[in-house]
Amino acid sequence: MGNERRFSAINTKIRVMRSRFLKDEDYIALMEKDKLADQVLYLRDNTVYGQMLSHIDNIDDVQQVELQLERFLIVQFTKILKYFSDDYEKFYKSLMFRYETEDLKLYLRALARGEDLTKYEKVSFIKNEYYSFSYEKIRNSKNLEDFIERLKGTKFYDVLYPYRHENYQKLLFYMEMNLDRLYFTALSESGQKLSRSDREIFNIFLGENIDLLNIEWIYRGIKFYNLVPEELINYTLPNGLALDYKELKKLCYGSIEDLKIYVSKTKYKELVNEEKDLDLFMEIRIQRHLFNTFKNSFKRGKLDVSISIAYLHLLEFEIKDIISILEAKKYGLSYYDTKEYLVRTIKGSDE
Amino acid sequence: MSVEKMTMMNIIGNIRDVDGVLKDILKSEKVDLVSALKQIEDNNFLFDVSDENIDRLIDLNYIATFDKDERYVELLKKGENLKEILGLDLNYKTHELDVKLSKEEILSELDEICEEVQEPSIMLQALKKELEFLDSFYSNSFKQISDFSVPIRDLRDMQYFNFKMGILTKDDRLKLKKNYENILAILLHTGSSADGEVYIVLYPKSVEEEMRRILRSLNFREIIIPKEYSGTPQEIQSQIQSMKDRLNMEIEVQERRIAQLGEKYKERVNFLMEQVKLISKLDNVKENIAFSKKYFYLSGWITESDKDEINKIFDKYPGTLLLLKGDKQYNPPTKLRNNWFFKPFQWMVSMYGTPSYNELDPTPFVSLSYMLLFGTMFGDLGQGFVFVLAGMYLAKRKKMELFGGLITRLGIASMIFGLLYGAVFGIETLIPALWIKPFDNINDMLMIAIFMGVGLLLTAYTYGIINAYKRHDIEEGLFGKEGVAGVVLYITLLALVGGSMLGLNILPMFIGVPIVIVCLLAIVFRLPLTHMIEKKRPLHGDDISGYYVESIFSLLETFLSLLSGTVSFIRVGAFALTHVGLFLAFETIGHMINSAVGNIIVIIIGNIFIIGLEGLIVFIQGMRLQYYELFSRYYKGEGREFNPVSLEK
Repeated sequence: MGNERRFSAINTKIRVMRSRFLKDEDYIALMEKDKLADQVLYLRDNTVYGQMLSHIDNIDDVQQVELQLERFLIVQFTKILKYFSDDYEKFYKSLMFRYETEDLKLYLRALARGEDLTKYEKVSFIKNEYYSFSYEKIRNSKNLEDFIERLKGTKFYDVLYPYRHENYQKLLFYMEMNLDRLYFTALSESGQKLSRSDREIFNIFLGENIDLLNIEWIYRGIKFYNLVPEELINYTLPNGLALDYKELKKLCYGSIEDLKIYVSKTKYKELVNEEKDLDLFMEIRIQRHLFNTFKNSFKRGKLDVSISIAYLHLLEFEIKDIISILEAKKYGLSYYDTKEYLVRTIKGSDE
Repeated sequence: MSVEKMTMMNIIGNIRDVDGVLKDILKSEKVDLVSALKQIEDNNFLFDVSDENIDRLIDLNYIATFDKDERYVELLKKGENLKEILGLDLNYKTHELDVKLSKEEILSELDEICEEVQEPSIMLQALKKELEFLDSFYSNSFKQISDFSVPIRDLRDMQYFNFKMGILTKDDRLKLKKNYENILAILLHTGSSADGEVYIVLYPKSVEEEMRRILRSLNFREIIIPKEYSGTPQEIQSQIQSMKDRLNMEIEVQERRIAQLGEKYKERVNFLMEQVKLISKLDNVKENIAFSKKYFYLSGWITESDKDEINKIFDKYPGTLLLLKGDKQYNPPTKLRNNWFFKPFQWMVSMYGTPSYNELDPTPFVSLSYMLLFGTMFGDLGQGFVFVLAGMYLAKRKKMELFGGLITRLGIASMIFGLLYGAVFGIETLIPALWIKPFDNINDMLMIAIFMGVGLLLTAYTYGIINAYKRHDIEEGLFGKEGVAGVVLYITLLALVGGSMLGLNILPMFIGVPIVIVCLLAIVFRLPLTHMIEKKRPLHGDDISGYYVESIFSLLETFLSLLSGTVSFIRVGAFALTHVGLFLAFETIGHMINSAVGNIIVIIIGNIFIIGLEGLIVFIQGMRLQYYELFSRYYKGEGREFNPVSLEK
């Protein structure tokens, strides 16, 4: 099937879906509200998220609101999924796979805190069919070992199994690293089955994303986690765009300063801009970098995978921003401080 | 040659007879059950209120349906499970059986057998699992280091070094390789297992913690070697081998035990399963029956001709009340009755749809016209005979009887036309043509085809009008474009156009044109006209302008379909020509080869080609003419097939 036939319908639909993104005015209005409840009401009555939020009985419950917002993303996902078949459907499903891993991480953290999993409803997905593990089965796990045993037969089992006897603190770290790696491997594999032109676009998207994550990982690994370089390099993700294994290895065996100097010579130099605290702002800068990449895809507007991938990520960033705005209100951050932590730059923001 | 007359049968019987009655009904395969409760609710269960009936009628007030007992699903599962464990080859026969056991009895017996079988089956599974584990994990792991003469115990006893054995995936192995210069360890590839490559890692004890972390970051899956394996890899291999031998022996013992149990219980399990299936069948049928405290109420369609036989069944059960209500209410199912000659064509009709109960059975018309069309297009004595033989062969195969019969009849038609055309296996010089040589009379052939088409279309219109009359459908029957108005229009146009083409003055213009106009007006105003005759008001539906727009545009379609429908039949003549033409091509090739043997071979190949490919095309074209040109004019096919309950299904 040619790309004209594959994408003409869905890309048109996505343009309509994209027109429902929040405007800058919405962002400002949200931040200017005095109370959390007012913010939620604003979202409910004036935005596309209203439909999802109308199910909530207690609008003061931030967690509920956040969950519903995230589910909105999944709803959009499933809408897009319906337009594809075969390898393309598998590809979009593997993008969704990330939310499975996020849910598993959530469960793992809950287990680490000694909580009962039954209080977590289906987290990201609304329907069971989108999970590759049996959601009902794992919900009744009593402890970590039991939890992993119940995942037997899924692809998660092999990566979590070696850690089942570790103490919780360390293990969370390793398990999460491995889940992320699993997601990226699966995504990369399914991406290679796309048509040639789509594969090239996808490899650039993914490669940039991996570069950014690797830089952040090495930075934090050296600075906070105190890992041996061999561990550091083993946990980096393969298939980066600008940074190949050899470069990464050099960085892993080097110091923070070496890393900063190296990155400042690449196209990711804004990551190590020392005007602001790197520890705090590296993450947000990564997201902004991706945000701009995806926004540009819409400007190009070609009939290929870029539009749908970009839409999903832009929506994700928007939801992240909304959650940041809600959380900021909870912790009493000022209007100007809040803006600093948003992915989208809006009027009056300095970056 | 018609649709069988049906009658609705309502039965009230004593509840103790219910299983017997049902079994007899199932065996007879003559009753199409419908929901009795629905019949009762629609007040169709009316009986004379006489003294002897009063009890039954009062009981009607306490009626309930049968609660389906889903336990047999569990029973079936158990039985199937048992069948699998014991490896039984069962053969269920349900027709001649009586219900001898209750569900409880079957369940407890199945459970007993299960329990006896369970122990060896579980043991067998465990043994097999152990064997598999040994196979995949240990025996392959030591393969590549079988010349390694150091015993494992020595490795364990090292003072400054430690060792680990485990599995790495391909990606992780690559990572390790790329960074080998920074790792303080010796890695030995020792073999492969189902999960990946097996390595032994040797490293100084002083870097134990670091090594552990590195290995973990590589997803190293450690294999713990049990204490009892302490020799050299070769010794371990042979140790594993002897263990495998022992396991295999034990497996054999258990398998023999299970086989013995299978032999012992085979017949009993078979019998139990037959019972379960019978019970489930009866239960399924019971869903249509209504029950009160003392009686059961059953409704179903039977054919008029089976009346006496059904009556005889119920004579066996005194106190059963049987009432036949005729076919006036509802929509009876359709049972077609055709003689042996037309029967195969019934298959073609039902592929399109089952006729409604009050619709004419199109089978005879389809049979004759399809044979005519096929014969005309594919007239050849020899090739037709091949079709007859093929059809007879197919008819002997299971589930192909009807299709085989169809092919045989088409073959016969082809042979008849072969005689008329004087063609045997394509050769036109062997026998004289009794009627016409298609290729020598091309124009005649095409004209004949159109005349044939006109004849068939007119027959189809007649069928359509009769069907409309039977449905009391004035709108379609009188004024529709397939009704009287349409036919008159068609005939008039034929007379006008045909007359001027043939140079004959069949119908003068001044009579013909007014008839055409009247017919067209009738088609446009068919709804108000119908309402006027039926004295219904208002004359139109809600959307008057919409109706007329649609109606006027439908005139265009009427003309088009008259034209295309008629011209469509030219293909019949064209294929008759193609048939000869194709063979001519092969004959020419044969001549070009210029040797008798080559000539014969080419003619044989040509015949195979024509029979296979052209036969198929003509078969499809004929079907297309039936379904598209003819059926659309007279046949709705919206009926429900008469589907009697039986034990087999």
